[in-house]
Amino acid sequence: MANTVKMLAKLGDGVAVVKLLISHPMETGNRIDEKTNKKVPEHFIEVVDCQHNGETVLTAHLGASISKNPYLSFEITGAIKGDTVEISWVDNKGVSGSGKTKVK
Amino acid sequence: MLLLDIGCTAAAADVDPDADLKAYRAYFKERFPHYGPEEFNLGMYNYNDDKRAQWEAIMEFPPFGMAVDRGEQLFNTPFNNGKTYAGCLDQGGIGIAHSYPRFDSKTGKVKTLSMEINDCRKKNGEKPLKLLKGDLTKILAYLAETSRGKPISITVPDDPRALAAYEDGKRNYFTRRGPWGFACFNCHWESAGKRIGPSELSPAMGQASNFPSYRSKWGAVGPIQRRYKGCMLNYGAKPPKVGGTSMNNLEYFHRRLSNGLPSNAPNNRP
Amino acid sequence: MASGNLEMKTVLFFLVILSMFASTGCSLLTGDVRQTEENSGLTGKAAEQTREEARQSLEAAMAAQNRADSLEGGWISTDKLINKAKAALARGDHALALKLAKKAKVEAELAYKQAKHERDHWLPPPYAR
Repeated sequence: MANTVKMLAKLGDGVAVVKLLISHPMETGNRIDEKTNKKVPEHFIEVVDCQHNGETVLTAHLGASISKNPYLSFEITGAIKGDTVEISWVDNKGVSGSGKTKVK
Repeated sequence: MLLLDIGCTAAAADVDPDADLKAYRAYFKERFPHYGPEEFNLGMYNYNDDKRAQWEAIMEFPPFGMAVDRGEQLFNTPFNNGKTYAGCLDQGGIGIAHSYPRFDSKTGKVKTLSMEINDCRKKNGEKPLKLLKGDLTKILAYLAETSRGKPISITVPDDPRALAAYEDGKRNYFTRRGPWGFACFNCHWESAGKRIGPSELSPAMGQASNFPSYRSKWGAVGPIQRRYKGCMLNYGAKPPKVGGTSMNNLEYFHRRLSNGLPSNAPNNRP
Repeated sequence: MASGNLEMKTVLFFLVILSMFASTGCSLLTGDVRQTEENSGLTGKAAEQTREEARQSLEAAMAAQNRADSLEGGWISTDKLINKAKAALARGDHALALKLAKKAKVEAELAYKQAKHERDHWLPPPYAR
C-alpha cells in the first residue's frame, strides 16, 4: 500500500521542528459529487498520535474542518539528533496509517 | 492605437526563433535590468514580500513532496507486460523533463512529456492517462524533480514543420481572446510586476521553468497546460483543447521563453 | 373592523400570492408547458410561431458559436447564454429564449470577427519583435 505520510524532523535552536504531510481526502460529508449528484460520505482523520522516542508527545484531534492532505507542524523540546519521531493516524472509518523519521 | 496591419502568414524563411529569443531577452533585460535567473524564476514573488515569505516557508516542506514520491512509485512500476516507462524514454526518463516539449520529426508535430508518457503506455498495451489530473501529473512531478536545476532547453530544429509549429505557438501567444481581448503578452510583458485584482503578475520569462507546479487553488500538482486553460477561462475565452495542436505549440513557444533558466519544478504557487 | 382585520389581511395575502402564480406562468401549479403559452395570451398557432421563432434563433446562435469555436475564438459568456436560452425554450418561455438567443448570436459573431481578425493580423507588440 502506498505510504500515506511524509515527514521531516530538523533540529535547530534546542527544538526539533517536525513537519508532516498526510495523504488523505478529508471529506466533510457535505461535498456533492459532480457526477452522481450525491453527497460524498464523511471520511476524515480523527486522531493523529505523535511520539518521540516511543513516548506520546502530542495527540491531535483533527476532524472534518481540516482540508485535504493535512499538513501539520510541531516542535519537540529536548530532542537530539538521531531521535525517532513517529506518527500514527486513524480516521472515522477505522483506516489508519503511520510514518517514522529520525531527527536530523 | 497604431498597429501595423500587415498580414502575417510568415513563410518558413521568415521564422527565426533565435532572433526572436534575442529580442525577447533584450526586452526583459531592459524592463528588469537587475534580474538574474533566480529573480525570473521567482516570478510573482518578486512583488510581494509577505507572499514570498509564505512561499519560502512552504518550500521547506512542500506539498508536492507527496506527488513526487507517488510519481516515482508509479514511474517504477512495470506495465502488465513487464516493461517499464524507462524503456521508452531517453536516459530512462531521468533528467530529461527540462528539454520538453520536443519537436518529433517522425510525426512532424510537437511532443510534450505527457504525450511521451501516454505513447509509452499505448506501446505497452495500457490505456492513456488523463492529462490534467491524477497519476500522470504525479509522474510529471517526479520527472521534473529529476531535472531540477538543469537549464530549460527547448530546441526548434531547422525543419519547416518545426518552424511552423513554433510560429503557430507564437501566434497563439500573441492572439487576443475573450470579450476583453486579452492576449498573454498584455499581462506578462508590459504589466509584469503590476497586479490584476489581488494577484501580482509574473514576467513571461521564468514562468514555465516552475511547471509542473503545485497550486493551492488546485490542491494538486498540475501541468502548464492546466494553467493556460485556467487563465484563458479567467478572462472569458474558451481555451483550445488541452493536448491539442494549438496548446502543444503554445507550450513549445512559451517554454522556450524560459530557455537557459534553471528548471525550478515542481514548485508552489497560490 | 378590529377583530376581523387579520383574517381579512391573511385571505387577501393568499389571494395575491395565488394570482401571482397564475399570472407568471410558474409551472408550480400544473407543471404543464401549455400553462405558459395560455397565460402569455397566445394559443395554438400563434404560440407555435413564437416557439419556432425562438428555436430558429437558438439554432442560428449555436451555428454562430460553432463558427467562432472553429477558430478557437469562442467566448464562455456566449455558451452560458445559449444554455439559458435552451432551458427557457424547454420550459416554454419563448420570449426569453428568443431574447437570449439573439444576444448569444451577436456575441458569437463578435467573437468570430475577433478570432478572424487575430488570425489574419496577429502581431507581437513592437517591443517584442
